[in-house]
Amino acid sequence: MHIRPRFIPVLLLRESGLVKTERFGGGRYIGDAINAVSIFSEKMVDEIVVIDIDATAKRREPNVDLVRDIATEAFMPFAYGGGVTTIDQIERLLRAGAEKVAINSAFHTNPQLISDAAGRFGSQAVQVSLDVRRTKGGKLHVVRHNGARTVEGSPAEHARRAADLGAGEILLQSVDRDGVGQGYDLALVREVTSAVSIPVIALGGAGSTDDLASAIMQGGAAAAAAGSMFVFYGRLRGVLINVPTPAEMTAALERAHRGISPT
Amino acid sequence: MIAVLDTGLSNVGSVVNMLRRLGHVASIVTTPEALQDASRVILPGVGHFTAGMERLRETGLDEAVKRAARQNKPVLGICLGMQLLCRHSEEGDCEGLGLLPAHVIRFDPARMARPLPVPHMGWQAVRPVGYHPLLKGMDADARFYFTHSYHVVSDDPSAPFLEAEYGYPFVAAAQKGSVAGVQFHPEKSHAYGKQLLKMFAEQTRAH
Repeated sequence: MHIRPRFIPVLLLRESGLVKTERFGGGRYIGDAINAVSIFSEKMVDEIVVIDIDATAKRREPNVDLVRDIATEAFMPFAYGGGVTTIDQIERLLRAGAEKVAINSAFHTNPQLISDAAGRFGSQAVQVSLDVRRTKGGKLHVVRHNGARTVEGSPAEHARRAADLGAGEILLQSVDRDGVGQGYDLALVREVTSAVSIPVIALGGAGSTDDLASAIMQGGAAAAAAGSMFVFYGRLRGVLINVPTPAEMTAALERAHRGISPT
Repeated sequence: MIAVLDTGLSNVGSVVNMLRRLGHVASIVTTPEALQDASRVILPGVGHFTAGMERLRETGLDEAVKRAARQNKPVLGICLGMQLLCRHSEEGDCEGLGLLPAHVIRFDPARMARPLPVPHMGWQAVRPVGYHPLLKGMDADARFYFTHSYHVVSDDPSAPFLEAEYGYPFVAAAQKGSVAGVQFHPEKSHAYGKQLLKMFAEQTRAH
């Protein structure tokens, strides 16, 4: 393993509280965002992604003050996304403490933003977020606006375009697998990781350390991200922030590498 | 007082926060005058080399940093900040501050056994290749967060004190006199970064 894979909790914000969705719907309240970030930081997670899921629909400005508060608690990198549409917002978010900004809707409505941001702040600060839905017939569609609108072009094509524009990273999320803990859509992950040479973070479906490992080993992703898995715990899915230890992840990666099925 | 230079390009907040958590007084500095009172200086940085150098020149902080180095004050460059301390970067074919005997080049996937994506983003282990007070107390399994497309190449074999590998070995930390640079982000590297910044804050002038 030449690049150490990253395992990344994704936190969804609604106002300043965290929620967890299922297939991009609903929104079960998890808790206070800053508190959660502080706990994740104590547990030394590799990195986190924080997304304000209502910002685009409500045409709200990114919450720079919240980002500043998050940065006080996060001694690891974090990406912030949700309603990011201008260079000015990106500058303020980066100066407030985010390592990177995740851009979703604006990638479709104003792709120039990606290249402007990469040119000004460096590719490593620009993460393009792609949401993908699979039709009943199995066809993959990129969607935007929190899953409400479909966009032309395959996920691989969009990923390539993002990379060409200068994005440093792709956050690839499966809408269908969101919140259901039944494994990543590995075929989707594979399709995108084979199309680009920039890092791809897989998101949507992780329910176990074996799932996380499979995104890396079978999917070819540089990082495996998860929402539900790191905030729910136990059969009854109570809210509890939990993170696999490095030893657990090493073991899971080894199992995936050897092609051993999980027990 | 530890001066954390704000060139407007990067997030200084995290560096200041980590230092404050360690119990040290850190101030964000934007002018050469404010730098005079500092006992030590941190130059963070993210983004394009030429933009970084321009900002340092515009503000007069380029000369101020050089002066701090001449006065033997500990100076720590972080990420682009480390690169700016070097004499030249391929990024923009631009001159740096010349305080570290090194130059900066882009990661070359052709040199790698298996080409890896650039930028290099993620956690990496580092290997000491020389002594420096910043290494005191560093865990044997220490890892740090890197995010960069360009890396430092030393012109002086005694300058590097940490090495990391991404497709091939590269300089992760280097020093000359009271000036040091680290390619990774200590302020984003949890306890490992805290330990390094702690050593920087406690570092005596002469070593």
